[in-house]
Amino acid sequence: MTRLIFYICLSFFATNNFAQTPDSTATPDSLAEAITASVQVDRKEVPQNFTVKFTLRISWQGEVSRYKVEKVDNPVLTNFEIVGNSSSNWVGEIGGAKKIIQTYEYVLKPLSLGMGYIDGMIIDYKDTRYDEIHSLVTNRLEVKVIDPVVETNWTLWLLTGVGLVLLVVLTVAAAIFIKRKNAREAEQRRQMLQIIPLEETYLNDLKQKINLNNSNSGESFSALSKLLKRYLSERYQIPALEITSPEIVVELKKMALSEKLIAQLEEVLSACDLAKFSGGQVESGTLERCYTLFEDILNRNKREFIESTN
Amino acid sequence: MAVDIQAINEKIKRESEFVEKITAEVSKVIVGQRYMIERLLIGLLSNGHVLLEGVPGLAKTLAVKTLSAAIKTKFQRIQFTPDLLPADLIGTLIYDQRNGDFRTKKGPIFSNLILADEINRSPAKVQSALLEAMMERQVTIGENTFPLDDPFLVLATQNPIEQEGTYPLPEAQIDRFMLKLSIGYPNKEEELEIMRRMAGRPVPEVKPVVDPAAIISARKLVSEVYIDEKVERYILDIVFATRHPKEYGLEELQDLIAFGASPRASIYLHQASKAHAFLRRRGYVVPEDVRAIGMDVLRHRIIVTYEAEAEEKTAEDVVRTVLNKIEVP
Repeated sequence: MTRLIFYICLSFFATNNFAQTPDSTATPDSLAEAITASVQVDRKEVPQNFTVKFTLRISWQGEVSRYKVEKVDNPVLTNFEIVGNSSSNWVGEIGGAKKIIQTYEYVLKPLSLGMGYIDGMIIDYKDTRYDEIHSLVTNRLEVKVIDPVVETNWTLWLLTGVGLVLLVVLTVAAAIFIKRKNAREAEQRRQMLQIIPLEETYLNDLKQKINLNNSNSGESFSALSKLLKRYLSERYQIPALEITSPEIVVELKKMALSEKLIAQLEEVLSACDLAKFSGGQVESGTLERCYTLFEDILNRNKREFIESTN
Repeated sequence: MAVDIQAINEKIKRESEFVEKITAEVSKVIVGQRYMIERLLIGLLSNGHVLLEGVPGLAKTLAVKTLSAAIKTKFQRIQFTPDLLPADLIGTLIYDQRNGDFRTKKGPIFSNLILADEINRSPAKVQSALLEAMMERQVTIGENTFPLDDPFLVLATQNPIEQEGTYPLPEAQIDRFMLKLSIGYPNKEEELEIMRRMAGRPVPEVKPVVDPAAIISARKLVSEVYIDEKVERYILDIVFATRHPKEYGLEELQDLIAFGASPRASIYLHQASKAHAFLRRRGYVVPEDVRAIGMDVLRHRIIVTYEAEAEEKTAEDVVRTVLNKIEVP
């Protein structure tokens, strides 16, 4: 893997902007063992607001300690300034031979528009085998400084992307939430519509079926009682039609209903029972009172339901 | 028909005072068992015989004895045993050597209140003799027929758990009892009171507080209690539902009932409801009266099928379903 990266690097260095200078003064035992220096910039043109990377690479094959780089001065620059530098050493084997690469990198910032130059560098090294001092000279490189361009801020892009994703997620979540809320409200409205008509239906039935001027009040009481029992069985889910009035009251008392409501219902049921089963022996005005109480109960229940759903 | 309910109510208030007195006297001895005492009074007021069923020790016999003691009336307790003969019950002709003639010796049935204790311990012929007397309210000894006293009320007891050596009452005969009561255990508080009362203290003396004439008068008043046609039709619906459950939306009972309630059920339900209303000091019957007494009137009149027995459904379950499903007027 390392070798592969190395070859890729070498092939990359072989492209333009790559300058390699063998040591003309060196007296190596073989060409393969010769020390070389190469320089490279990562771009031929650089916007004024960007930086350019300048790389110096010194390499040789053979013994690691064969050469000793004495001193590497900073490059002489025209229209550039150094804003950062670093160096590294690499020692490895390529084709069974040991290879040593020393890399010096400089980050250069253009100063003004126009041409910028990196002068050739002179690198002194010592051939330890022969105990001799020699120099390597690199080529002069030029880089054109062009108008500044808008800097691509990847962090900004990343944040924007994340923000967009979050926005999409939140939008979807909000859409789901609103959809569910609407469905819930629609269901509540549907339920409300189901119950409101219950009271309204009974209010209508009360008006239509109970005739307060009927001379046969027993008949009216029977109809009123039946209507009330049917309403109670539907509204409170109790078998009001199959049980007696006192039993209905017992069932209602088991629920969390107001005492006033229960008392009113009890009054209507008792009055109806008395009228129905005692041969119509009820005081005048009782039917009207029962009617009014039942109507009042229906209206109140309807109102309470609407308030509770709001 | 114009009914003066106010007048009936007033009369009932006046003439039902003895009910409280009887209840108070009985309560001196019997703890709790209000259900049983009330039903016994219903039997007394509506001229219907009562069968009490319950495990031993529930004061069935004591309740009947105490009730009879509270009424100035003749009371006989007959312990039914396997060797009891009809003559032991109704009486017989005895040859009088002095006159050379037969003299009628009336049996214990010639009384106002009869406690037929453990009625199912006697053979069928004794049971038949009693049940015939219950219906006919007269007894024939030799060639003479003797009417039974009025009021005449048979309160029979039987024990449901011992079937060995018993003669279960046939359905036709059990139908003659107006009410069949199922007596349950007292609750904890009641039993505590029973323990304390029975812990060596002498049993309080029960004084007679009402005479038979008052009972007969009250019976007349009970018969005057107004029952609206709606309630009568409700009674009929209940009884007919035991015969044709499908027609009343009770399909689930169709295969459980072999025989429904007889017309006697309607008659007794009608009467007992009136008596129940009387006990509530009301001059008219409401469906509550019918429902309150319905189980006691009907539970022994419905014969369930083998399928019902296999499903462990009793006649009481059937009656309960009918009472809870028939629409109340």
